[in-house]
Amino acid sequence: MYAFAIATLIVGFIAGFLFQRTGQCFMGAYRDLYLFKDTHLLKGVAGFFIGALVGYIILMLIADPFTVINFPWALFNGLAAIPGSIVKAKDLISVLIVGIVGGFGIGFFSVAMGGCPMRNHVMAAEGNLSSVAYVIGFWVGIPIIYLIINALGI
Amino acid sequence: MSQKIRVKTWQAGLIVGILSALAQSVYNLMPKSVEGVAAYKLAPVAYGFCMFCHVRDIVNIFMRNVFSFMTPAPISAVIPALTIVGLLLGAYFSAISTKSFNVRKTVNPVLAFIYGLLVASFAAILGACPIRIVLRAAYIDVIAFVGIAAMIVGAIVASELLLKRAGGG
Repeated sequence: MYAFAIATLIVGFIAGFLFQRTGQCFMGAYRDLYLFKDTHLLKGVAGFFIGALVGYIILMLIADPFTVINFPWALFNGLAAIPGSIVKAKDLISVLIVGIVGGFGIGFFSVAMGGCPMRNHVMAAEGNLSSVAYVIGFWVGIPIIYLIINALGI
Repeated sequence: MSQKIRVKTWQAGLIVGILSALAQSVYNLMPKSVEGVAAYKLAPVAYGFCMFCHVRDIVNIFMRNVFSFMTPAPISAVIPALTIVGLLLGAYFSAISTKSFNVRKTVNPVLAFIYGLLVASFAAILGACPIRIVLRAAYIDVIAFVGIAAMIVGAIVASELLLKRAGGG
């Protein structure tokens, strides 16, 4: 039962260590490509995508008890989104709106801040006080948005 | 910076990507079912690494009685994901070992706090952070590609505004 906590702790530690070394940012990748035509960080995102794909395919081939369920997702569930959004409506139009609004908002405010949430957690650990403020806002913001969405009833 | 361990960005991405995918399988190792639901069905798929979801699960497990309105992944009723704790420890350890730890400010902290609030809100709406959206895309979720495209558009608009402000002022 504690396997998951320990596994994610180790994954997080390795991720923090490696991404601190490379200065990886999942939003800076797109920003640098657009502003400077620089693909340095984008290679990290591409590597992450390929690594995850390889990992899932390995798990699919190993099968029980390690298998991943419903992989590849689109083959089993069509256009339905993988669960995770706090918006309860699940029809296609709502899911598309959620994807576009959520994605646009994250992209806009992450670039305004200068990094994705992961990069800001790493910079907070490096001693950047602005990122510490960001991290506090991030943690405090989660219950607040739940309250707002619940009040709106969507 | 110490040059002892040199990692290229694609190598770091590849390693963490594989590990994040493999972390998914650990759910399957939990032997018991919870309230009649098999343990491996408790966790959403593509859940190995997420800045937003795992923070929410940690907040939830410690503050469950206060924030009863939150709907975390059912897994966090059993055990929280400690990715964020590991990430902070790993980054701190790396920063110390490369002597790149220094206290500084880059953005006005009040503004940074508000940005944190806003990014968390939009991440909650999307149901993923910029990392998990890539994991979801690797899980072949069509909506995730829409999310990434919207994210890139948002990044471009913000970049243009920053350029304009830098040029004008």
